[in-house]
Amino acid sequence: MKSKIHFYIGKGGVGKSTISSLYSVYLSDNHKVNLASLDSAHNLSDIFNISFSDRPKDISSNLKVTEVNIENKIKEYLGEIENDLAISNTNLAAFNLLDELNIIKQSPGLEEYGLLKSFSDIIENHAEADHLIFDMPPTALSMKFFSLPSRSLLWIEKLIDLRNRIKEKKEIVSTIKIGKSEIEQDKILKKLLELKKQFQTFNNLLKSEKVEINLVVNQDSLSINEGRKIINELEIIGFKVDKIIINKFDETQQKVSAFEIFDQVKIPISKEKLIGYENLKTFAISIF
Amino acid sequence: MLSKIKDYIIGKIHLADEIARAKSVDIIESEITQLEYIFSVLTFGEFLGYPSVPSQIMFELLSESEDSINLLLDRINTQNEPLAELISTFRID
Ligand SMILES: Nc1ncnc2c1ncn2[C@@H]1O[C@H](COP(=O)(O)OP(=O)(O)OP(=O)(O)O)[C@@H](O)[C@H]1O
Ligand SMILES: [Mg+2]
Repeated sequence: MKSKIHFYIGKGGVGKSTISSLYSVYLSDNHKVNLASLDSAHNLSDIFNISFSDRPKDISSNLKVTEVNIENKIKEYLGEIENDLAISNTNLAAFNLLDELNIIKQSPGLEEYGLLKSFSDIIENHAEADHLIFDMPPTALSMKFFSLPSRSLLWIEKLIDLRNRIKEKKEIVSTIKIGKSEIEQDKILKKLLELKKQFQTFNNLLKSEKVEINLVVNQDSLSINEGRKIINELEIIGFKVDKIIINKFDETQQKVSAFEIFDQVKIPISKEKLIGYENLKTFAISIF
Repeated sequence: MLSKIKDYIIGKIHLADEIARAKSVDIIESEITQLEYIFSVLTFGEFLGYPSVPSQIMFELLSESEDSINLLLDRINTQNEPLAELISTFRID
């Protein structure tokens, strides 16, 4: 995959959607760009004044915009599982497990998994883009998104250990009984090894040079404090913020004394309303 | 005469060996069952209200896990304290 991946995170209202739109419009002047909102309270539609969906829409010859539908993604995913179950496990269907699935749609963990799946779809479907730009959901969910692969891997390793112990014991029994270790393939172990590979791929991609994490803040202590927390939390799970974007920057206001060690970009307040492609383009050219 | 004694002893040894094998097979097989049970509680404990793996992993494993879930359901039907057994198994292990 050649695309560069840009994430925009930060406290609510700091300008994540606006900045990711501005940067997308700017880059699309001479690069292929796909801008996607992973925030289910989408506001790219308001910014471009065009309605979007999970089908990418062409804004210009080089710019496509998508607003992913996480809820649909989760439903679609659970539907696939229901199908698999219905085909492979007649017994489970009889135990009303499928009914349980309806309750489990609310289950913690699924939202960020839906997010990860949507993210993965976009990367797969837009491999030809030079830049994939992601407007991220509120901080808590964004953090869960970034930590999902490593959290999952911890569990998967544990489960793989357990299956291997079971496998070894089965082999011993078989050796005692028939003199050689002949046991049938462990389907669960196989699936776990597949999952491990998948999550490792995500983890490696997210932590690779291809990814740029942009933290958007304003000159107020609330967004700065949240910014600090984001940096710390990301560091704990092995990510680093690449750039701080101080949006709605006003020279006459108090200097932002945090984040000195980071690359910083200052975006002034726009006098024109930042709505519609043309306005975005004019402002983008003046600031980048 | 000597060869008769030898046959007798060898016979005994074979018998002892067979008994030992059967015993160790029993022990290992029950260990396997316990490990399988721990695995199923860890993976599907959510159905019983126990903390278990993150849902995304549980869902991914669901379609391969008929045996695990059946094991869990059997235990629920035959006893009321699945967690107690789980904990004691962990201690023994
Ligand atoms: N540089 C700027 N100059 C002027 N107005 C701006 C600028 N950046 C953002 N705004 C305005 O600030 C408001 C919030 O911006 P935006 O919707 O991009 O924030 P957000 O971080 O995406 O918010 P949310 O967390 O709700 O998704 C919008 O009305 C937007 O037009
Ligand atoms: Mg937004």
